[in-house]
Amino acid sequence: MPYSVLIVDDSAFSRRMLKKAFPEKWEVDITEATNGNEALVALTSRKFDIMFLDLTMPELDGFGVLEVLKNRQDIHCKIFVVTADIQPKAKQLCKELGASAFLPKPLDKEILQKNLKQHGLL
Amino acid sequence: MSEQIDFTIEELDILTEISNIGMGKAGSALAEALGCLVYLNVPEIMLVKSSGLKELSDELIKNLEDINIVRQAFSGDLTGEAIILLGKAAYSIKDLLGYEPSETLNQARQKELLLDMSNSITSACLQGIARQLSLDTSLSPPNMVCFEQPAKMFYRLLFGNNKPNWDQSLLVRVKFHLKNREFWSDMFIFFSQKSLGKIKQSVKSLGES
Repeated sequence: MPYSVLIVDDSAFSRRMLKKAFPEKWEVDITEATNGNEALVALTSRKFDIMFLDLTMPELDGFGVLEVLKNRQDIHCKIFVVTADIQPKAKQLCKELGASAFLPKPLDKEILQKNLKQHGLL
Repeated sequence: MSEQIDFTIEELDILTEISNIGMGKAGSALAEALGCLVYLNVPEIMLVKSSGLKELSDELIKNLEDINIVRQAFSGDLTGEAIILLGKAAYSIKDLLGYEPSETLNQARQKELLLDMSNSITSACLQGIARQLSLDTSLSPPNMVCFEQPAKMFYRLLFGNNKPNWDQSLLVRVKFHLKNREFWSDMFIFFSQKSLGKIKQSVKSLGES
């Protein structure tokens, strides 16, 4: 059964690059959102196994999404933050807010694969 | 008049993402210097004509009061200049740079702080962008255009009474701020008309990859 994946990023190019980095034989059913508000709508409408979340987005950014989800006991999915914001304090804040992994852009395929395996998603 | 270059919506999206990565590196450099989290806005990308620059400048500074302006040219495959606006109280974060809060900095030292910070973020951002585009660039030393002057002087201080000597430029705008502190920085990177052909070629290759 394919993994249900939510990709949240305002850049179409970035979403495309992420999908290109997915392992070849990884079976996935992908939904895309362009900002935090769309992501929350998607998360409340169906269950996802994993969400790839950008931080710098218009309307509601990645930090805002994480803060909302921290208080939502009804939504469970692994959260991989994929971001150009590579500050150590940003990484620390994401982990405190419940992110499972913090992956810098441009995304490295091998780092992604390693993290997917570590979290039992591959 | 040089050839006008256009970018498609997809190419502008790629440029925004590339600028996002450059901005991330700049934010990280600033965060390392200050030891605190720096908040980043989504970068803005636009093609600017010199005839519209005065109007754009007025729009950009309309809610600002006194500002500091640093200017820094760059050359190579990517040529142009970065213009960094820093709020009047930019050096109020001196405690984050290791000074005692009660310590008074003379004007020369304040300017030096602003120049150092500007150079650090411009260099990180521009090199991040250049690396993504597989193009080279190198920066000249930064130059203080004005120190605590009214924002309405912005255009005149940069261009005098003349229009810039280019028809078209690609503008990348990135903004940084700190939570609960008065510090903010607004960086405008103008890529010259000479660079636009190479930028477009690199972006096209990325889009096709």
